[in-house]
Amino acid sequence: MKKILIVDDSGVQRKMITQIIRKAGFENEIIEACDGKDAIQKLAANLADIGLVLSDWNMPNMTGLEFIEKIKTVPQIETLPVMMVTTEGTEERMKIAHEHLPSLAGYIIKPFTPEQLRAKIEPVLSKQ
Amino acid sequence: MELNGILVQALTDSIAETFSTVLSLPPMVQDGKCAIEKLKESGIIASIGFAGNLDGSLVLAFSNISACKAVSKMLGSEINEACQDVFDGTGEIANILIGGVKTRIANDGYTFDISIPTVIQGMEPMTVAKLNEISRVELCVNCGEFCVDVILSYNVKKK
Repeated sequence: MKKILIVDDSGVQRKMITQIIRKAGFENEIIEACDGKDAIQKLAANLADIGLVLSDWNMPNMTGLEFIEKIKTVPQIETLPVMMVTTEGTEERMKIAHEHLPSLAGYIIKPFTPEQLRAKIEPVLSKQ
Repeated sequence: MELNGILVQALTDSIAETFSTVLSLPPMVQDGKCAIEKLKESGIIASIGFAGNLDGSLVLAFSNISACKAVSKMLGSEINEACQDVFDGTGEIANILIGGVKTRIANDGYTFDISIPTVIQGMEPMTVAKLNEISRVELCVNCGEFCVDVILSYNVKKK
C-alpha cells in the first residue's frame, strides 16, 4: 500500500487531514513534513513508496509552490499525484499552481469539509 | 461599497465558513470586543500579517480556555491546557480566516501575500492596542462554548 505525504507547517492541520483519511477507511502510512525542504527529504527517501502528496502553500523555509517547482523535474513525479491543500483560494493562485505543476492532481481550498477532501483523494487512493 | 464595509463582510463570511467547517460550530458574529476584556489570567493571541496593495494583520485573541475549546473542536479530542496543539491550531484558524478574506476581496481589486502565523501566550491581562494610522475591523465571535475577538488592521497602499 502506497504512503501519503502530508506537507503542512501546522501540526494540527496534518492531524486533521490524517483523521479524515482514516475515517474514509484508508490505512495508508502517513508521512508528515513541516515545510517544503522537509518534504523534499522525505520524498527522496520514500519516492517509490509514496502514492499521494498533499501540500500546503504558505509555509516557512520553502513554500508549497517552491516545493512543487523543485520536484517537477524528477521523472517519477510525472505520475505521482500531487495536490495543493491551501488557504490560497483565488483564481490567480490556482492558475499559478497549475502553471508550476501542470500535472497537479487537485487543488483543495481550506477550510474544507471531510467530504470535500475525501472526494478529492478517494479516486486517487482507490486506484492504488 | 467602501473598503471597510467590504472587509467587514468578507471577514464575517470567512469566520462563518471557517468556524462552521473546521470547528463544526455556527458562530454568532458581532461588532466590537468580547474576549480580550475578560482576559484576567492567561490568554492566547494568534496573529498573521499580510502585504500587498492592502497591508495589515489579523489578530485573534482567545482566553486560554476558549483557545483549548476551539482546538479541541478542530481535533475532536479534549484539550484542557494550552499546549503546542493549541498554539498551532489557533495560528491555523488565523491562517484560514485571512485566506478566506483574501479570496473574497480579490474581485474588488485587493490582493496580498500572507505571512506565517505568530502565536503569543500572555500571563497578564492583554489588550490589542489601536494604532492611530491604521484602520481596523473588530468583531466578536461567539460560539456559545467559547468566544474570540477577531481584529483586522489594515492600510491601503495602492489599488
